[in-house]
Amino acid sequence: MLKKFVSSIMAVLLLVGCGSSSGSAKPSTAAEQLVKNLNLSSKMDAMDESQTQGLFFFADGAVKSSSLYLANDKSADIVGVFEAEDVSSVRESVETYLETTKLQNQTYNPEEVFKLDNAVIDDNGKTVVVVVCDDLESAKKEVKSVLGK
Amino acid sequence: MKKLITLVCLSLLCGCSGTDKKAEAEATEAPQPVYACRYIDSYDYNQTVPWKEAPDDSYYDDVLFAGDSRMGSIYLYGTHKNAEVAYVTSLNLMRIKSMNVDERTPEITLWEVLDQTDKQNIYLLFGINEIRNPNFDAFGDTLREVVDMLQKNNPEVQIYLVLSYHPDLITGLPEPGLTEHLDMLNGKLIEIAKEKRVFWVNPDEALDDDQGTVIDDYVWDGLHFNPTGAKAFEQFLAEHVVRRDDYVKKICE
Repeated sequence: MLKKFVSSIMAVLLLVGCGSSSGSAKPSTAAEQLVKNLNLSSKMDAMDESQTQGLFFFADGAVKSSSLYLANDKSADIVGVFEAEDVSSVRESVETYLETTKLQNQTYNPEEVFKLDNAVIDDNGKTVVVVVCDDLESAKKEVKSVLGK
Repeated sequence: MKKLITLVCLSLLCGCSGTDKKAEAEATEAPQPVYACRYIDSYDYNQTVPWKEAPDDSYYDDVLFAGDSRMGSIYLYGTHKNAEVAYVTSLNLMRIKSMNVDERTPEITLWEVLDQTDKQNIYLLFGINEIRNPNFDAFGDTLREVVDMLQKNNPEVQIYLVLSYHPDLITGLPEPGLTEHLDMLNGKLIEIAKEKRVFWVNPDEALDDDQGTVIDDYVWDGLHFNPTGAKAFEQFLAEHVVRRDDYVKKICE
């Protein structure tokens, strides 16, 4: 009886644990996980909130919290996780950023345009994630993982 | 009687001597005049830097040109090799603390270069990579941070904010949007110059054609200067130098 009870408790705890590690993780935790799992740690710098706003121009109140990493070299690599109040508005801002960055890179770093054209953007209705990097296939899988899909 | 007269004379002499000492003491103790000195800066920060004859080459010993790829033309084609040039291609000011300066070994960010400099005359040219932005609020906040840091490190530093000259074209931002965004950007630069009491210069005064855009022969892609353009840009900056002594006077009262 006791064994069954303990097993049930453990199963519940494990399920709850799994649930919290995917889909509802804090943006900072999720972004950190993406950077690490995509092997981008050595070339990415975390941006603060004002820098993030200065790059994405989110509408007032559209983002509740966010975490953004940008490449510190000339590449367009980016990892962004945005907990959204208004998902469609956030996605629109992200797409505008990617388009603007693409236009800029056409002049300076044309080799980055392909990555920007194939950027991974996804959401789960609460959180929007964007990744631009060389390994797009891995990026898709990792993004799905942090979104709990 | 003679003795009496002698004594009177001596006492008079002593009296005189005593008075002198007292006066001397008073003179020593009398408060010295105190002069309160202050510096009066009569420069009009509302105006662009006026024309002045170019300084000689030694001026550039104490000059740092910093900015985006447009400043790279000074690095490539500039004639004052004693000036320091630090530029970052495709720099967005939001990334000034993380992007490394071009052509520098070991690697160093532009923020670090500015933080470590001891140059007295610093020219800043930023904003063209943000020209598609819907507003320049965050850009302005970051530029204020840069200016504050430079002024804190060296209160005597002379900072020149270089307005963005009007390029022939910017991909994805056709007219009239380009002109509107340039006006917003340059308006923000002037606002910051007035607020922080730093100088601002407007290259459009000297580098534009009758269309109001940069002279075609000065740029190779509508934006970046070729050697001729870089020389013209350099000359424009040289002829818009502020001599502190012309405007700042020490007044003691």
